[in-house]
Amino acid sequence: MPPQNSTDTVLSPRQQGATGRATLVNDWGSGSIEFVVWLALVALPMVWLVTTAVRFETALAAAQQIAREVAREASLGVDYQANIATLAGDYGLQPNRVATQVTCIAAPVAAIQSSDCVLVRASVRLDSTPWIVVTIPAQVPVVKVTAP
Amino acid sequence: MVCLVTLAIAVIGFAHAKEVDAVSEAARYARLADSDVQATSAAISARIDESFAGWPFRPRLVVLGVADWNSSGIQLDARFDLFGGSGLLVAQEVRAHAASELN
Repeated sequence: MPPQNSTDTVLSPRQQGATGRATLVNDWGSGSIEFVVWLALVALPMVWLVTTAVRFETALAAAQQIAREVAREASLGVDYQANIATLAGDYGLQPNRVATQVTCIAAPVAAIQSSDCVLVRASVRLDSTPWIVVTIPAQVPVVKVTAP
Repeated sequence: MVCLVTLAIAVIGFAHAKEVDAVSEAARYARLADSDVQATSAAISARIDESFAGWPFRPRLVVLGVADWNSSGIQLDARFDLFGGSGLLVAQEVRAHAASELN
């Protein structure tokens, strides 16, 4: 493209190359430092923050599901303690990270695994997350009747 | 690029939590229906649709395996295509167990 006015200067290819090379080396030095600083102050914290939030959300979801199942199994009279390892494994968790408590909160005699219990409360906590509490009506075992 | 990575982590993590919720919920009801695979698939899909209502994407249940667990319970193995039908094959697998209410 020709010069547009008298102040424009056309550089020879050699001049352009020399100028470009000098600028490039200069930019690479400050650019790399800028990139490292940006990586440390912006990019990595952003990824860490999102990863932490997702893990927290997943942990809460897992705790809620485990609590529901534990409450259900307890009210059905199943040995829920023996199944906690399997339930934790469904969510990729080590069993020792899961703490559970099950109580019967509405019954003439507060005893879990009893037909008297009408409301079961299960509390589950993963590591240092808050306790997730689930209360469900006691489940009634279903007797399957088959026609003769 | 970093924004894309963080967005992908957030979306995949969120979807995984919702898939776990859907499969676990379906597992608890599946045994009452005596492990009807079609009904269980429908229950999972319905729960996923509820969770992702208004979202531009939703996971699609691709494979569902139903097996007995501990002789009195059920084990569900589900595989989802995260961006179902979009051609982006991002698969996620979820497993859930539930005790039986059948005696």
